[in-house]
Amino acid sequence: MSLFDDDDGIPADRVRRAMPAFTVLLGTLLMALPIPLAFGAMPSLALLFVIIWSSLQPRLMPVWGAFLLGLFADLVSGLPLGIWALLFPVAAISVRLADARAEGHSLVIDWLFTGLLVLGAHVLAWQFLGFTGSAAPSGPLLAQAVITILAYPLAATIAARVQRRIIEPGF
Amino acid sequence: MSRPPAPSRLRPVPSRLRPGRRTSFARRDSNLALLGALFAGVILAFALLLLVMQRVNPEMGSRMRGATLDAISPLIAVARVPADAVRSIGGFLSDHWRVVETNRRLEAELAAAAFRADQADVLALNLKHMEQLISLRRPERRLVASGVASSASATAGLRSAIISVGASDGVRPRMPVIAAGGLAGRVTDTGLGAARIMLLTDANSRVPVKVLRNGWTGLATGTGGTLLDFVYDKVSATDRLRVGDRLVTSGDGGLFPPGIPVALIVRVDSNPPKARPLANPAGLGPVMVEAPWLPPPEFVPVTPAPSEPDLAVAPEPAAAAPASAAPAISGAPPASAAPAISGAPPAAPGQAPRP
Repeated sequence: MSLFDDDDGIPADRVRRAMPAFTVLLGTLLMALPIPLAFGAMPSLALLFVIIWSSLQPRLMPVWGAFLLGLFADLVSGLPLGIWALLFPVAAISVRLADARAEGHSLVIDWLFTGLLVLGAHVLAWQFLGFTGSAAPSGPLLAQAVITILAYPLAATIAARVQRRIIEPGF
Repeated sequence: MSRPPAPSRLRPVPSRLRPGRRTSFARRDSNLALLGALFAGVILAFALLLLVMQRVNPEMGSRMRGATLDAISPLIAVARVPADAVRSIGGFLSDHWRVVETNRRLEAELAAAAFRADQADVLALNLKHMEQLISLRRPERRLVASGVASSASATAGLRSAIISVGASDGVRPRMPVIAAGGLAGRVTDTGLGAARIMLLTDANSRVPVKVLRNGWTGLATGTGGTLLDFVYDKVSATDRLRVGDRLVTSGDGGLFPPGIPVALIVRVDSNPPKARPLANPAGLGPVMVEAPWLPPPEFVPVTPAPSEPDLAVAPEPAAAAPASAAPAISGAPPASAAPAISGAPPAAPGQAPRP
């Protein structure tokens, strides 16, 4: 109780601050867990959450946090260290730069921008895999990128709900 | 939520002498932004460094990976339950749709198989006898551990599964993993109580195989999808690969023991032909981890064999004696064997003492 709720029903400060990282961790674990799909067709929810939280709550998704989360994603999925550990902070920085230039958000614009980021990240991940000597075919990675882009509204809805319920329940 | 309000300061009065001077707040903000950018740059550089180090030394981080495996393996054991249930219900339903038809087909197949099994028993007995005659030494397969595997994880670019045995059970990287249906893959990372295996369908997986029907050898290479490529050299102009041909491990390379079912050819019109793994990566179930079948030898210094005289030319038992006996023989009859033996020490320099 005391961990999650203060006396007045507002979630504890620590929980609120950890929420974005927690959603990314959950997304990472979800991809590593056994789900009966032969073609690895899981959206990369972790990457989506990093992008979304960098825009919604930049202070709760710092660049070093994105790096640590990426490192965890590499370790969990058995990829060479440094692939998502590099791409997560790059995504976080790109979102910050874009937000500094563009004012206001519409779903379509956000979706388009996220799509570009996700596609770029997967192409880079494919290149990095080849660079570190565990070359992978491009097909499944691109399929994952497409599925990830399609899953954006779902992730955005989840993030918005977490934001309303837990991070800023007063608003 | 309730932070003390920032200490209010008096804004500096704009001066006529320095009209462009910024407030200390603005300066502090820009300094902070600069520091933040610097910090972000340092982190990116560090991540890039990690990537480069991983290229130089692919083994880097394997211990951390193992520890992570140990940490998440209980989660995986929990998550397996619903996934396995869904799969078994699906299998249950599809079994019941076709039970009569399947039963008839299986009975016919069983009769044929029983006949062939009898023949095979006779052949196996023959083979054993022959092998004893030529005193062939076969390496033995050795079970290291057995556990259960989670199904393939959904990470694009990497086809892997996690098994419930690890370094504390003797599992080491590179060991072959065999499931009920056939070969499953090989161990890549080990934690104490869990290990990750590279599945046959991973793009980096290469398994030396042969076609059971005609003995053609080749490689079953993963593609990252659900099927394998069968890469082989065409050795016969009259025979050709057929749909339904079974691929088994050939034992080449010494890692996988020979004769383990690997895949079934499903398409021959493509180049290279496609094969479906017999152990379904999405439902491996219980698996066995075996020691590498024929581990690379540890070399010990041994004197090279002397060149022996041709037994047909010199059939005397003395002629087959080792080279250390050669100086004693070389002076004595039979004269036909002596030149051949005295010529032996130069072929093995420094090993046989000359008088």
